[in-house]
Amino acid sequence: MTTEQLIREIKAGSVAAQQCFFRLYSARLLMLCRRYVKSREDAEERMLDGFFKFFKTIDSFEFISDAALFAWLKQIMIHECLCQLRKKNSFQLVSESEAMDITIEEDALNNLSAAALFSLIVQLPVGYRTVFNLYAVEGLTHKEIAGALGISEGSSKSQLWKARALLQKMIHANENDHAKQQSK
Amino acid sequence: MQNNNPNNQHILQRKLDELDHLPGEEAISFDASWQKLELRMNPVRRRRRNYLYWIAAACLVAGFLLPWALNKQKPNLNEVVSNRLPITPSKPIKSNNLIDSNANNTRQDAMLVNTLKTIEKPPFKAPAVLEKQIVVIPENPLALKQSPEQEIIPAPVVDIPAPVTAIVVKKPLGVVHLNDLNNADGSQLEKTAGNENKRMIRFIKRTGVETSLGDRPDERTSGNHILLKNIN
Repeated sequence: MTTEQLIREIKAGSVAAQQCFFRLYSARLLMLCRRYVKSREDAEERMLDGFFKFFKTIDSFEFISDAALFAWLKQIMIHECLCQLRKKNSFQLVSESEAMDITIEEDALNNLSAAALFSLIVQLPVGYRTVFNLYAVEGLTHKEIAGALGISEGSSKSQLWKARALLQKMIHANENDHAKQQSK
Repeated sequence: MQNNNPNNQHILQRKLDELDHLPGEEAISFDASWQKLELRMNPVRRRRRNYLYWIAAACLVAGFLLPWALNKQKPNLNEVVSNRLPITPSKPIKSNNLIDSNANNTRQDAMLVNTLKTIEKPPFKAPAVLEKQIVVIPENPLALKQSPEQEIIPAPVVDIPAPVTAIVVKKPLGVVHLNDLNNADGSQLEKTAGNENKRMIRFIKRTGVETSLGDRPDERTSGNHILLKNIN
């Protein structure tokens, strides 16, 4: 059964189709939510909220492609996670002057595996992690991030620079540990 | 959506989107998560159930309250009696007193008797145990001995309601003196007995009894005496 047929059946009210759709996308979307919400339980709750909203508003959704469907699902999940973070008011704000002093090595991240990158991102503080996810992974601009999180553009930039610097440090630390283990 | 380095962004996005679980970590339990989601997606069923519970609770409350409300609407007999007649419980009303009361109070007394009749309890019915006790008759009355069972069972207290005597209100009779019969005041008596007087006079004339009505006063009185006897 293709994804388009699945969506049609879900629109018709088939519970089996909903369950099948959930099995198809829940694992990946749970990992997405975990990138924003650190706790696994909270991430699962946000994912369930997102699926609930998707099934509720599926009549207004028109299937174009699998990529568009996944992008739509991702938007819903990210929105749920950001709502949760905004409720907790857990964004760390750093002044712009501090942010400008940090140097970045962007290519270092691309050489990491997905699991290693995920574990590093999860270790970041909430504010850094959120801005990094939105900018570096999802591709939002600082203006969009500032609007979504209710912060200034400068704050968004500083959060991003800080996140990258911290990631770089962590990558170097991991490389040094790996090198020491190999030398032993 | 803009980014300084879109290539890096796409690489990162692709990497992270394809990740469905971390190595060495438990994967998501689909069934448990689906059950949670199903509970969220079917709040209508839960609401319907709650609605049914509320209806059942309302029916129960109505079942308890309706009989009470209906009883409240009916006028209480005791209240009616107390409203109509100011009867103090310390002074029981006797029927003899009612009969001896004045003629002005006869109407009120009659109402009281009617209300008392309505309050009258149903006739007493002897319980089955008592009937059995009465049926037992010893063969030899001389050798009658009270069995311990009979001694233990106390005599039942029969609550027989006091009989309410109906009031017969007699019309008061006017007392007329014998000498006043010929007066103008006693004309009513003469009118009522006028026809009978005429018959009596005719009868006396036929039988030949000589009556000298109107000649002598003593004879007149005797004639009147005859009339009076006839009236009574």
